[in-house]
Amino acid sequence: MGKKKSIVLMVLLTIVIVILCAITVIPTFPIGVKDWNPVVMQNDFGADVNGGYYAYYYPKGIISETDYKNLDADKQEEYSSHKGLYFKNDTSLGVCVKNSDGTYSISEQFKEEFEATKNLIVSRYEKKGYSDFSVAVVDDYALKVQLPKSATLDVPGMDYQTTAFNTIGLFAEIGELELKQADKVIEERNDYEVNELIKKFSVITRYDYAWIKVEFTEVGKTMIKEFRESASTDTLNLYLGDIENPLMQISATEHVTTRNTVEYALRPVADIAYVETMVILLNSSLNVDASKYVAFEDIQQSDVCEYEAVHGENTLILLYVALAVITVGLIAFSIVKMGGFGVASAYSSVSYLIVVAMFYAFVSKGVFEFTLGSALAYVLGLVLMNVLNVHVYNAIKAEFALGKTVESSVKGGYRKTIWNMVDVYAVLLLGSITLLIGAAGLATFAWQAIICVVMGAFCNLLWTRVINVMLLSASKNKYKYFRFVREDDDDE
Amino acid sequence: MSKFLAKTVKKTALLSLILAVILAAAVALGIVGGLQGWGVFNKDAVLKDGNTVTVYMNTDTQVSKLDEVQAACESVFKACGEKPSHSFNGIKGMNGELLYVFDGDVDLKDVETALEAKFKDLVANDWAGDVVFITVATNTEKSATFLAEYYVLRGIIAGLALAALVFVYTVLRNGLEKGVAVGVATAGGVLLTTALLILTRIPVTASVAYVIGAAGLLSAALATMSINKIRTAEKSESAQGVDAAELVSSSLATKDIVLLGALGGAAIILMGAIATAGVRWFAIASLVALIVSVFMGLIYTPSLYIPLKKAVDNRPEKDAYVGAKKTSKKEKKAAEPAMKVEETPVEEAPAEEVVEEAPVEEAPAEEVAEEAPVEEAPAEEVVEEAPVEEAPAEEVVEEAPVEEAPAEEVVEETPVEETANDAE
Repeated sequence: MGKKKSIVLMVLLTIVIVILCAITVIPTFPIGVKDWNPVVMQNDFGADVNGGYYAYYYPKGIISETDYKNLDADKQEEYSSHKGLYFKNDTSLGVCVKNSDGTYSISEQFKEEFEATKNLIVSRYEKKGYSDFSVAVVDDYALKVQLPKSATLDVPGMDYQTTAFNTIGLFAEIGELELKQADKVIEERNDYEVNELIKKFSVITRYDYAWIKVEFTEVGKTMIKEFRESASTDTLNLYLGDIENPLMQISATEHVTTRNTVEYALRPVADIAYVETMVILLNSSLNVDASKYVAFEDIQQSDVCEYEAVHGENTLILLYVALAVITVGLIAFSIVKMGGFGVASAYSSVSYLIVVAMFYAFVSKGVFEFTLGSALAYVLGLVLMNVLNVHVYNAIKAEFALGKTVESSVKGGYRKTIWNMVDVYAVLLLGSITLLIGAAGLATFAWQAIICVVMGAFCNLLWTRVINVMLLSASKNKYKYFRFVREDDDDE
Repeated sequence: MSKFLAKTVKKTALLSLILAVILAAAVALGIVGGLQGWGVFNKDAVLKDGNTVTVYMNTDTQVSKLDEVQAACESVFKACGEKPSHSFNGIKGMNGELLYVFDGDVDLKDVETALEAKFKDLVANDWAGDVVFITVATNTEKSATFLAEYYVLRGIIAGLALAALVFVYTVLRNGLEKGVAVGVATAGGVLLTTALLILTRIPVTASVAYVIGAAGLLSAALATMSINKIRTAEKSESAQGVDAAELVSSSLATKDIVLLGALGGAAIILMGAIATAGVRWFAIASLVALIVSVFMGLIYTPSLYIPLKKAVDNRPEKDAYVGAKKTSKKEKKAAEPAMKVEETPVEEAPAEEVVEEAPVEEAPAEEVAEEAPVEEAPAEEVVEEAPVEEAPAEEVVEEAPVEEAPAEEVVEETPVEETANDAE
């Protein structure tokens, strides 16, 4: 490549990289009425770096200490305390029993029902597949659920708190499923339970919509077939517990397929998370016998508390500062260690930063969150890329020591190291793909590791070499570029 | 350091024993922890059971007096001699909520009373005239779940699949013994990291899965680098006749792996030093994973490879031996009456058979049969070019004493054939 051509290309490349780097990392600042947000601030973040939401589930008849203290004195007398909770002295609620001395205490039956309810709530959140969540028992008879902010996907027209509330509110519903047609309960009419008619609920996507698909048992298929063939104008309504409005209003002509399933479009595909939550709720309610569980007080949106990162609001900023220092440190190390080749390696490091940041933010946005695992994958990928560049440099140096020209040494060095690098990256790629088997956070980490591995391989196998060719062509002294010294040069 | 590493790498049994002891200790501690309720891992404070103090305030207070409320809480905690492990600063609807979490054995009734008194005093004096509404409540929290069981199970399956796939790839690329070394090192990296996290009781959250996953990936990568270096050394001329242990211990990928360990360690330490406490424990766990991976790649993979290579080096002799033995039995029966070379067409059979298997060598074999003196040159060339094959030929001679007469003849007259053919 000619010298002038190389210089022009390098200048253009440098300008592009500087611009992209600026778009990626320049911190937030106001522009008019809006804020400029760099790429790195547009990720979905895990709770460990960006906080999340929590809410309490109180069984009906039980209130918190805060609510108790807000009651008038005469109202307070209607309650008894258990640790930090207060329960109403009303045995009809099924929470307490009256003792022989006139006091009230929690009943054994309520304890059993609460335990079963706790397990049901836990299973719902586990099935949701959050990388970061917790369910805790508060004072023995209330629950606290905690979700990362990334659980609240960016749904058009909704704020994050609304989407968090949707999940928290839906999962608090405890009740039995009921199928009704024109106010007649289907299962009672035929003396069946709902779980004897419906096998399972699932999510499908079609025509940019997220649908609930209902599969029926053999008995249920007969029932739904009759419904479809009747072409009734009444809808078949699915109710859950105390919720007034039906969750699904199934039309005989619109929703029942010829395969005797029901396919019900619920939300646009951007809000698929809501539909998935609904499906988990419905599946977990199929076998619920309301008499064996406790019902919770309705959750209002104002009951959901949004919190910042537990270890301080600066957790994310400090983490990014650390990553920036690491990146700059590795760039400086490359240049000091390898001279001109180190500059090529530095370009690769910056390219790696830009592409990985963009992939994290835009390709995986709404699907994966940026967590500590993401930072670890980035750091280890960047370190490996620089170490392999040093490996190539040492191979080039060894070739040069045999008396070859600089160009031959570069070719020879790459020839001798390329398969080692291919093996390392192939093993990493295969390993990252297998980690997709892991659920939730581990699958997220695997996807991000794949991004880092592919970009690292591109940088080591191709990009560094291309930039090196351009820089070498543009350099005045090829020996000085690589910091090589020839014996005859010493004589001079 | 090279000498130390070279010596350490040869101690396969000792290293394996140490690993086994560490894994066994971790399993034992995990079982005890699970039964006693401590948990297999030491959970981070954010996931532990605890007692909480909740300070609930109205919007005006949250907006204009949050810092003062926080300062008041901290002064009361200090006066009561208690310190929260962490806290949540939240917005609930339009109001504010501060949630302080203490260890599970702390009695917070005195703290609650002191806080209420403090806020009553502030409302009456410093905040007189302001619309301030604050309540204080205490609760206990017991973790019901933070990691789904199926999540842990799938993580374990993913780890095993990782080791298996890496093993298959390395076998296809480099052979069975190298594949075994890399596969075991990968699995060992995952298991040893998990074991050390259990034994050292480093506080973990669900993000421990990332650390263990990274350990597996890094162990696989470094083990691959190590094996590739050994493979390059094996192919070089200087490796001829060198003992497996010496060859492996002199061809460790020390520079690259140590450099990666040093740079990676520095990066992780920086991350832990600059970032907040929550990241610090994660950084320490990541450092454990890095150290384990470096150990697996630099020391354990070559160490494991040595006995495997020795076993493989022994294997081809037996195969050739079986072939020669069968032939020699036929030979014996056919050749017993006449012990002349001419009357031992069977002797030629092995050469012929071998020639069939190695058509390339037919020319030199024929040359050897007809023109013995000329054979020396090609034989020598063959010896130089395929030194490895000489050993099996010699061993065949040694292990088949019955055939000595014909075999010796074959060796003497057609050394090229045997060496070349054994190369097959």
